[in-house]
Amino acid sequence: MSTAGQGHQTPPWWAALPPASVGVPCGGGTHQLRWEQGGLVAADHPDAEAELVLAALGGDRTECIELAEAWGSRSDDLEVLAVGPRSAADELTITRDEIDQLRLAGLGFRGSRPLIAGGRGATLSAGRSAAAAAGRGGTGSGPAVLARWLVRGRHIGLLRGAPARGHASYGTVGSSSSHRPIKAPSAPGAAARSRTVLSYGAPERDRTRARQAELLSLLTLSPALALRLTGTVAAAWADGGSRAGERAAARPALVAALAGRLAPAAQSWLGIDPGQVEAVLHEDAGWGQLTMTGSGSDRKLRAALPAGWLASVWAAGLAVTGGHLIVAVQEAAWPEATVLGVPEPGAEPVILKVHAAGDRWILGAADGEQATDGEQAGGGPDGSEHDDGTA
Amino acid sequence: MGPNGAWGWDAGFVNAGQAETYLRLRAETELRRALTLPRFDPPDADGLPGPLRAAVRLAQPGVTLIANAARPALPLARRAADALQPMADESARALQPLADEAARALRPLAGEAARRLQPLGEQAARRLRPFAKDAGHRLESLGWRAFSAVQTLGNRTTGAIMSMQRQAARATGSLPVKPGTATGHREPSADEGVHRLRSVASALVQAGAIESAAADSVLAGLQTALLARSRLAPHWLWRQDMLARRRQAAGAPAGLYRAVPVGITVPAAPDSGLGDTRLLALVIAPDRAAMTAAGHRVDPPGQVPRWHPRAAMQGSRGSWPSATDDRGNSYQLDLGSWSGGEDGDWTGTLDISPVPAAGIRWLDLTVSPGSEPVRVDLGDVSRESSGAAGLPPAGGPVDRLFEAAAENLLGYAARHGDDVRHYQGLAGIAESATALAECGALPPACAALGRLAALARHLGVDVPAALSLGAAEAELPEAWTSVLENGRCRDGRHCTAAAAAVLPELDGARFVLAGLRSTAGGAQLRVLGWGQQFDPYSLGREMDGPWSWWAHDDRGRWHVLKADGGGYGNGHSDVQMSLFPPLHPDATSLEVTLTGSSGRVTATMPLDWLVRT
Repeated sequence: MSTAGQGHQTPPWWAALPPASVGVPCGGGTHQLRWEQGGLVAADHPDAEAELVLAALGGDRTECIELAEAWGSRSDDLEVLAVGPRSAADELTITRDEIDQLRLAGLGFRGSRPLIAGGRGATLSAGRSAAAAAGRGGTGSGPAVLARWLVRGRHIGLLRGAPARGHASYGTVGSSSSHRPIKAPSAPGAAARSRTVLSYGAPERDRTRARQAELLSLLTLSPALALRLTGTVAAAWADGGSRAGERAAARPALVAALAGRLAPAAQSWLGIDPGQVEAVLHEDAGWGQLTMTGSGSDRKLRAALPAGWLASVWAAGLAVTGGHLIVAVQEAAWPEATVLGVPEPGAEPVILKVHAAGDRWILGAADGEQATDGEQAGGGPDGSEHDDGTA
Repeated sequence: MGPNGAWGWDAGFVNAGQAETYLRLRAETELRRALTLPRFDPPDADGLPGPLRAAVRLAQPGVTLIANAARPALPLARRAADALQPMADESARALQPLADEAARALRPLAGEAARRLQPLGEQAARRLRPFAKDAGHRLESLGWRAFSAVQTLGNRTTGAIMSMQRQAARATGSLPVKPGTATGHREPSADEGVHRLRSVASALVQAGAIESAAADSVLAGLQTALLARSRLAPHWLWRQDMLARRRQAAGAPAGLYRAVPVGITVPAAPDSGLGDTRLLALVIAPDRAAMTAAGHRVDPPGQVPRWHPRAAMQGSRGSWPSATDDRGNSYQLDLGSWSGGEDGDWTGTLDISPVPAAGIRWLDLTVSPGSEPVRVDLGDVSRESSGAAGLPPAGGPVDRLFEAAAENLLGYAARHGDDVRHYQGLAGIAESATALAECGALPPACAALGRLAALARHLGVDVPAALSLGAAEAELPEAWTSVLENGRCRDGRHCTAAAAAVLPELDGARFVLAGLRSTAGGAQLRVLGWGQQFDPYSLGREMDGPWSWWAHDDRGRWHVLKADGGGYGNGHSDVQMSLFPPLHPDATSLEVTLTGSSGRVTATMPLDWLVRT
């Protein structure tokens, strides 16, 4: 081992990640969405671009294409960092039905039963499953189809049929009350104003909920894909990424994303309370800085790491390997990687060769040289292509 | 950079985004904390929340009756259950540490059912009562069985519920915690954590330290993250959406706002179970006209109710009051909203349609067919005055945060006497003060913070370090001293007053004072509003919004006003404000002062006391 050297060509952020795929219901069957080399592709739709063009012209849009398109539109969305997993142990447990409810929130469809028989694993969303149930191009009926309209923004008719909106009431303990929506019976312009109020607020909220549902649909495709989407977004804001030039405005979100993911890794590395981990964004040359202050319960880990750490190290599950906090990837071609690891705060990083074995990284080359179990905090590589089955 | 302090080696990154970084790191901390909490328990196929399900399984037949009676009323019950889910979760969590006390208080019921169902039952009773008309129709075929069950439950357990409510509130910090009790150390629920962060966000937005869009983004991110991890239910967001609609209000419509006292007595309809009804004030605005009313129920407590304000206003032939104006136009009156307390008193609003033209001079009101019309003269009786000399000067947005906290403390002190020493309500404002200080948004030696700290010290309330550190030396304003001096008074007359006044426009909103009800320990003022902007971050936790309300009676007593019930819709509000301490028994007029972000307005209204029959 030697002290970290300079002059390495930085590998692409995804170089330490294996491909991953997931099955999704599409067109009455199950299709594969496949992630590899930093991008998500609809494996069963070889001419996806042509399908997108047709969809833009009013044609039907398949589930695979919708998801791949949503993935692309979220590839630099900082909300992914706010919502996505903080560690491999951080499970996103929301169900498909709950995501459907979220889509329908505020429109009066408050049913808690699954909208579509089959439940988790059978559908991606109410809208999509409704389309699947009705067949391609079928009309379908019921809330699921209405939900599809909502997702696509055609929900004006629903609002007309929704319960009275725009009012709320409250009362005191031990009191009873009745508050109908306060109305302006026949005042000139009052009705127009009411409609203005509704149209001002409701579609915006509905769009927000639909976007939340879309994001949750992506992040719950599979844990492996959730990590990869998080890495994709972080890479967009890291040096060399598509949004790197606008990083100043995104700094608060990136600092929080870094702190939120470094904290559990540091807990695994040092046993430190995650609340005692402070992070800033390192934006100069080099890998950054790690210092420890205080002692006992007052000790604090202060870290300065680049945004790219989230993509190339954390998303790849390398954060804590072989008792080191990995701070940079120098070379990688999954399942092999050469990384910089810090053995303890304040120490200089050392170069480590690691390789993926099973669901963890271990020290040493693939032939077993210097093989030592790595401590895994970020999760990720599993030795073979990820396939989480049907989403 | 952590949320609790700056560190010197690379603090340069926090300039423009300092507050956003702070808030986002707080959100990370909140998410980490929430992940240690139990997951959300979803409703069953009939929409019954998990805690209610568990309670139904364990509870006595009376409780099962409610659930069984509610099932045929689906989808109403499902919608109600959905709405109750967040409260059920919250109540269950809030009461978790209080199991022992709950079991004692609710001995007739199983401990688990008591712990989980009683807060829910109270909420259900409160929620179902507003549905009285709708629910009444649906449940009529059940012969009032379900409604009676709710009522019976309410009556049987009122004392226990009140006791538990107080303890739950203690646990959430709005009521005192006796030193040494465990209830002060309850782990807040995930949604309470969101509300806590929301309060901090609100303070930072008000101080101008962060754009509201950025604060919204942080809060939305945390909510979605919690939702993704089943620490929040989708229903919680639905409820939040409902509350957020209130912030859509545009400015108050331009035009003439008129309010006059009425003082007419409407005899009760036979067998209505009600005493006479008083018409208190007539309000005519550009897009709404209403008459406020008050009355009293005469049914013995505990009896299945047959009363409803509707009955009071309908004549023996089932007709409604009507009116004509000086131009020959006819109007109809219909019950808009009402609320009633356990003492049997109720207040309500009659909507008038169509809205009379601005220039009419009088309305002739016909209470029942064939009765003599009573004329309501629409001469302008509103009086604006300069007033407010005893109040602290209207300050900037940060000052108003601390003034509002002081008003809450004053109101609490006026109601709870010596118990105020255990007041826990300063924790939230201390958290906001910490956030403001760490983001550089707390002025050095903040005068309003000084007054809050001085008030807390005066009352013997522990002052959190975050408040005392930034506080300047300050004296209590005259109005505060008056409230404290008269806090123990219970000499208010039990009476209603036909009183009305229009407040000048403030911050784009209009408010009309429309009737007052006085009791020995306080008073309630009916306030109709237009274009009221709510604090978008309070979402139902702070009903007063960004306003500060004070009143000064002509006998020298100051009163702090807090909202304690009401309704909102389509840019209108209809709110009942509680005044503490009580009005002086000899008061004949009341000067009401409203402070907003752009200044302060005052109106004076004579009090025409109506003798109770």
